[in-house]
Amino acid sequence: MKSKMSYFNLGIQKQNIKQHGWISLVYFIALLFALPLRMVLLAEDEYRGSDLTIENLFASPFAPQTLIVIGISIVTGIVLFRYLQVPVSADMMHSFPIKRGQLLWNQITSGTVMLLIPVWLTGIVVFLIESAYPFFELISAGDVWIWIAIVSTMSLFFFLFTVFIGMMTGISLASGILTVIVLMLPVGLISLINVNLSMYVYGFPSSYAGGAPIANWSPIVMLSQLSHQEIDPWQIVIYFVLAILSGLAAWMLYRFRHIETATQAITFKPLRPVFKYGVTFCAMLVGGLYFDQYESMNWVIFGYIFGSLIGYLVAEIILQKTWRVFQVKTLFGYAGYGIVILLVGIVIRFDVIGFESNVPSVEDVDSVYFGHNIYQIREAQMHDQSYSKNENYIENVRAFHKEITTEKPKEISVGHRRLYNSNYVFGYKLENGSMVVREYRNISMDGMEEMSAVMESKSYKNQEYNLEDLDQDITSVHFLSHHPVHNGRLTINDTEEIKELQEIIKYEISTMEVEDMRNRGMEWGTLQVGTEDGEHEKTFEVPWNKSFEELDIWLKNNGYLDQARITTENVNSIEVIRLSGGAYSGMRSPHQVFTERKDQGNEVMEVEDEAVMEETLKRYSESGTGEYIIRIVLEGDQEAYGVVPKDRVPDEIRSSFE
Amino acid sequence: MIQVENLTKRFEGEAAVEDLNITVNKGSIYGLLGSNGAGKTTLLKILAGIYRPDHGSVRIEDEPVYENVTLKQDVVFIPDALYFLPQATIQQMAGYYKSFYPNWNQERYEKLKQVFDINPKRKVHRLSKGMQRQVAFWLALSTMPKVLILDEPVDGLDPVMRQKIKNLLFQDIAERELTVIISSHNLRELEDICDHVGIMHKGTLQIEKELDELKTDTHKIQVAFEEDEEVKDHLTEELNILHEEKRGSVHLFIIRGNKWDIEKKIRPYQPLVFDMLPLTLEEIFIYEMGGIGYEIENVLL
Repeated sequence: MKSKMSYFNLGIQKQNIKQHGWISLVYFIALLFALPLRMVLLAEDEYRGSDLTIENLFASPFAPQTLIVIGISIVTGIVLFRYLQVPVSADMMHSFPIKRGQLLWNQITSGTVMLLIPVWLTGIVVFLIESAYPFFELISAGDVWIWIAIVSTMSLFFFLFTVFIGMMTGISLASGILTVIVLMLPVGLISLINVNLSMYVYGFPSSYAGGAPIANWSPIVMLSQLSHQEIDPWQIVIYFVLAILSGLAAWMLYRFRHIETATQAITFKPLRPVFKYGVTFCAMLVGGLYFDQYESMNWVIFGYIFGSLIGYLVAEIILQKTWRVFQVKTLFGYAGYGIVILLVGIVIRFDVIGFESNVPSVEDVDSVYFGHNIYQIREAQMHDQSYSKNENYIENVRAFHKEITTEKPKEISVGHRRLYNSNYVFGYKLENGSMVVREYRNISMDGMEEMSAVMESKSYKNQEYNLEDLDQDITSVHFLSHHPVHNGRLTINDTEEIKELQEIIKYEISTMEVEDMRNRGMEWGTLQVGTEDGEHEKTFEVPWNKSFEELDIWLKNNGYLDQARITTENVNSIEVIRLSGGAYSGMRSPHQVFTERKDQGNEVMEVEDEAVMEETLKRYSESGTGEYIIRIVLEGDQEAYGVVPKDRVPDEIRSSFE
Repeated sequence: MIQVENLTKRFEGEAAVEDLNITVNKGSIYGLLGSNGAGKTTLLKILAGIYRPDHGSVRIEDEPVYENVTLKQDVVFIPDALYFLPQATIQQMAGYYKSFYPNWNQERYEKLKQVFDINPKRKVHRLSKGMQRQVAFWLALSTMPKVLILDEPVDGLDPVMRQKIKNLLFQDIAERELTVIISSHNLRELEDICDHVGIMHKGTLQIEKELDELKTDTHKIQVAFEEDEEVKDHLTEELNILHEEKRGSVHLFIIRGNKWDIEKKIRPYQPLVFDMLPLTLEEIFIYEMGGIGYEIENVLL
């Protein structure tokens, strides 16, 4: 008799079915609507568009299922353990002759059955539909099995995790909210800390430290990404293990939980400060981030104080269950928090750990990456490209990096960011296998010696401009102009011409100077270089700057110039407006500024001389800042706008404004 | 036998029960008295194995109660605020109890139906408060408990039903040596059923007494003397006076001690008036507690 009662209580099971069975029904119906029914509708839809293919069962038309799985599993965890959060029912259940572990086990069993049966039934329906419609030929039986495995595991995980969280709180609603928060926390908190750190720590690579891999730490984010990202089978296993661990953790906590803590926000005393200061900290970071938009340190500090105060009070209000929390004791807690944060702030601000000034020494460095895009570092890490082991290059990169850390150039104001490519990323792969990554965004630097040494080196040009690739056998060169030219785009296929061209391009790129590389908008277009790769032609791109004079001459001599780029022949007229008093803010495009100034009645000069026109074409930049704004009217009513800085403007234009 | 030793239970740092000791004999009815917030409910919930004590031990039949399934199969707790499963009928509740209590006696359940006279197919939530309490007793008694823990059980019961339930309890005590602990803030409710009474105040047990003993031990006396003040001083020295009052020339004393001893001490002063009056239990407590220095009067009525 006794053993029969021990782990499976029929009374509880019956009651759970009677009281909470609706969950199972709702789950089943919701899943049916989200997946099989949607599949039928898609397959039967005559207007669905021929390019729509469904490759897996998490594809975007079925996206609502993610919400259903997460939502209903969490609700199951809340509802089945509601007895713990209501004092009268908690008292009754625990006065019965049954151990807590048995109660938990019975509720978990009910929940598991209630969640899994709908999933499996839905799986069967999906099987039938998938085999009935040829539209789903890309979905195999294996896909359905994987769907069943993932949805079963994740349902179980969310359910048991909610139970685990529910043990720590005495309010049903709070257990749901806290579950979502905790599952999002790794992603949210780390990115919050990252962004905040990058505001103070010079060179902190926020997008390197955060980003994609961390997003996968959150099962909620992971599930929502399944439409375009495959899941590893071991990931399912991990979540299954995590589900079981959550259940075990819930059991451990249940044994220590005091029944009288029902209705309290946090049931375990040691967790209360964790909750309180956790909320305060997160609110502080959000506050700082919000006020960061004013680009003033004072506002950011105000944001920190305001955010943390609100967070602290809200946490206190939740814990004490009254809004009248304004006591001296409360104040002390907040003051203590303030002091700790201040100390942390000082440590970060004054770079006590030497993060900002850390440039690895030569003997520690295995290989180095220097570039402008932080994402390439991760790409490179995966494919092991882009890291140079050239000792000379390593030394140059280090020197340049050191120069930045000692000079600490200021951030460029938002208005001038278009002018240069002013992001610098340093990545060192150390001998011991670890990485040192620094990112300097939008810093204003004039072409310094150290920078030239790095950026004019072969390694850098190989990486950024494919210089090395130009040594292969080239089959074609396409000239892709930024502006339409009348004979269509120029492609060179002739072997002899290509040989000449190859040498010229190689020469041009290898002699490119820092200023040419950093000036954006001073390009005719790009060159697409084709090489033979089996049957197909493989292409890569190299820049085509206005500074490539040899190339210009070659094009002219061979009569290709007017096919390659815009020349005076394409241009009907060029109009110039001078902005008296210097540059305009680069926030706005030359187009906007030109139109506005013209409407305001500024003096417009029309360039008529062909030579001046040609000079202007060669010297204008498509973006950036400068004193002269130009409008180029091309054939066929096309227009282009640009800027010419004072020091590059042709004399004829300058004199006409004087 | 229920034994509580050095029991302490705190809520958020505030002691609800502090260093409390109680012994309840098998087959007796123990009345637990105390003002609101005295800690009665906390003590009962610990006895029922719901709360986990911070310190001290709670034993029934020499076994700890907390998480003790075998023991708890013989213990039933009827709380102050009743809880029934949502939408359940009496019959369904009976089935539910049956799944927890292996000693559930269906025969008894059927028999009790006649006593309470409520249709078992009715939903418990639709019943009146008093009827719900009857259902609670009905279910509890059907599990054939050895220990019954009742928190404020008589609330909402009419006098007839009260009597019926009392009789049922007496019957179980006589037949099966049922032990009952009843809490109340109303002494009159307990007076005629308890054989032991304990008074709790601020988490501790102030007095624990056998009722018969209490009744024979405390006396109310009306006396008048010729040489009033002088005699009175003598009496205060010689007797254990808990309380005194003067109405005109008549003194009213509440005195603890043997009836004959008291009379022997007073007679020699040749009182003009001498009356010994019976005390109600309530009066005894008021004066006893007053003696210890508590204004229990407002608390118990």
